[in-house]
Amino acid sequence: MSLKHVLKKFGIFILFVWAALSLTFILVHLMPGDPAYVLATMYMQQWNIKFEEAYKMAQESLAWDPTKPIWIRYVEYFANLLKGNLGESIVYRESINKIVAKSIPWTIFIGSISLFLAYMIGIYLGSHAAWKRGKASDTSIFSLGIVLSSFPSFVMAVFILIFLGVKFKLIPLGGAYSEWIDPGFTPEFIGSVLYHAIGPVIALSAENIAIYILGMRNSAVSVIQEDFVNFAVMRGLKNKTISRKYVRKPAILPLITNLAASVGFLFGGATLAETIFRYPGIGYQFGTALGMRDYPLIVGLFTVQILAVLIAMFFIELIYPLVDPRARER
Amino acid sequence: MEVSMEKGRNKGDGRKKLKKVYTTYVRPVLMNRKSLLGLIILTGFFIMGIFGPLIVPLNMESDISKRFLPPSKEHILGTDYFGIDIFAQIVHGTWSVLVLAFLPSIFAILMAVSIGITAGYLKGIFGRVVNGIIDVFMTVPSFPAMLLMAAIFKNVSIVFAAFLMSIWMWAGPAKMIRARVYSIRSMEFVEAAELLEMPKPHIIFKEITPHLMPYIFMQFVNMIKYSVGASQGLMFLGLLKFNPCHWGAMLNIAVTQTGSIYLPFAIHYPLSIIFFIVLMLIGCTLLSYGVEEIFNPKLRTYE
Repeated sequence: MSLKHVLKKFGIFILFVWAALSLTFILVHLMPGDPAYVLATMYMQQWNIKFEEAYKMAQESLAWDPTKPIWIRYVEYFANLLKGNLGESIVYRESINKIVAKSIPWTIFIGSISLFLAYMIGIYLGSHAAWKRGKASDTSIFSLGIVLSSFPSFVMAVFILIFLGVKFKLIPLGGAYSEWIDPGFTPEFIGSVLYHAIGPVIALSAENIAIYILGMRNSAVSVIQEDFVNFAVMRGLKNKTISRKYVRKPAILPLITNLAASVGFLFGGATLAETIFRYPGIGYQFGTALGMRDYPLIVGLFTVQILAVLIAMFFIELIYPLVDPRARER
Repeated sequence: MEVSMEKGRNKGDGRKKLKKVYTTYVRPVLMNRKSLLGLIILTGFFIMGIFGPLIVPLNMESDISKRFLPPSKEHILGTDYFGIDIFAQIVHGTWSVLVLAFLPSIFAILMAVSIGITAGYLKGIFGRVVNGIIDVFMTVPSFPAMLLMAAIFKNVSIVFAAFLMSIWMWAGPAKMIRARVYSIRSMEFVEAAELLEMPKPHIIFKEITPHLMPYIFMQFVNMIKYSVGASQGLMFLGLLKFNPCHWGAMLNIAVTQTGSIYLPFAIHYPLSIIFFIVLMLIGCTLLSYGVEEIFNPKLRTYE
């Protein structure tokens, strides 16, 4: 992998960041509908003030002056972003950078665990099902995949909360750690953090496990019908060797490129699952910001999510040629 | 000259065409066990959505003396926090669930087909620009984007909500359709049509599109599944408001507003909503997987 190759990928990455953020900026600012109006009606109800007053307040808190030409707002948005400044939240009266710094470790924590679990379990079960195609274990794994993929993460979250949380009292009902334990590198704190992560991790993994089971099964089934697998069977290789080295390896490749999409998918699921478990990650903040119509916070958190997906994509594209010899530059 | 002759022939053979549609699209779906089961489940929901409200009356007046009654003969699934029959609410919400599943998918598939074909068929800089637009839309995480849009347009109509959802659904399928068109375009029969200087609409609609139909159908079924889940999420966060009986809205009331999930004696309330959401999604998944098997014979478990 040459430096030139990395730089080229980085250039594409920057281009995509610019394009994706511009796209959302344009959709938010150009579409009919005035966020200041919506916010003003909310203020009016909240504090019992006149509409004009509320509208002025809303405009100020949005930093969203309709008389300003759109391109000036556009330049301001990117200028702030380049300085690393995401703006200020209306509700918390706090810089959004601080809120992101506070909450993103939690989401990365549960997100990476659940993605790892889903990937491992999904690939193992999926390739097993493909190898035993048409037999009982295939049917049961396949049915498991169908059922799991029909549980959106928030439905799963409610489901686990009811059964594991309320009924059998196996997992805590919410939060990231017990409040009476001081945060720090103590065994109690780490234990409490892990204990509180169980629910959100299961909720986030379920649908991803299903995606990987079904995806891996599809991809492995196609590989099994390739000539080189037939040839391996004729050579009398052990089944274990064929399924591990001849089938699983090439079948995983399409799923690796899928990982970046999983990151975006994870943020969507996390918004609902973290809200239900009151788990203080990015998704929970996004959910509360949406509920309170805290527009600067909504746009700021959304910007972070887009960046996360694009960064994941950038790294996967860099790593992919190491895994797949066909994608290497000659 | 030849084109018009072909048109005349097609008109005369309307019934034959219909039969062809039946044998290539309808019969395989009915023959495959997975897609048939999925279709039965979804048809059941359609019947429930159309005729259910006529049979099951809904009384939305709250009666606190009936709060959280367990399932009984009178109330099949029990009552909720306000003492309202849960089953009646679910039945009355079915139609809006179905509309929010199908309408965004119809909008999105129309966008995906037109943009995908354009990107695949056009050569040169213009095709690459369209392809770039598809790529950019694909990188934006779709569900958070829907949440953002729904938060900006408070109190939207059901059609506009469907449109907002479809903006974030078309890109992936458009990319696949583009790739397909790209490979079909260089096949001999298309090149022959181009050499004969057939009009472009003819090449696109008569030569290329028929080969895309299985893909379009597959993508459409997947979209329906996606929008069932996404619309439940949007309603759950309270971002769309038009029917308190929509299952996502009901789950929102059950979980965040009345805290029924923390009360052991009220578990039947959230569980019955979850049951119907999951059942509908299982129907969609089976249909989508069955359709994929039909058009991709490698996946079949039987020959």
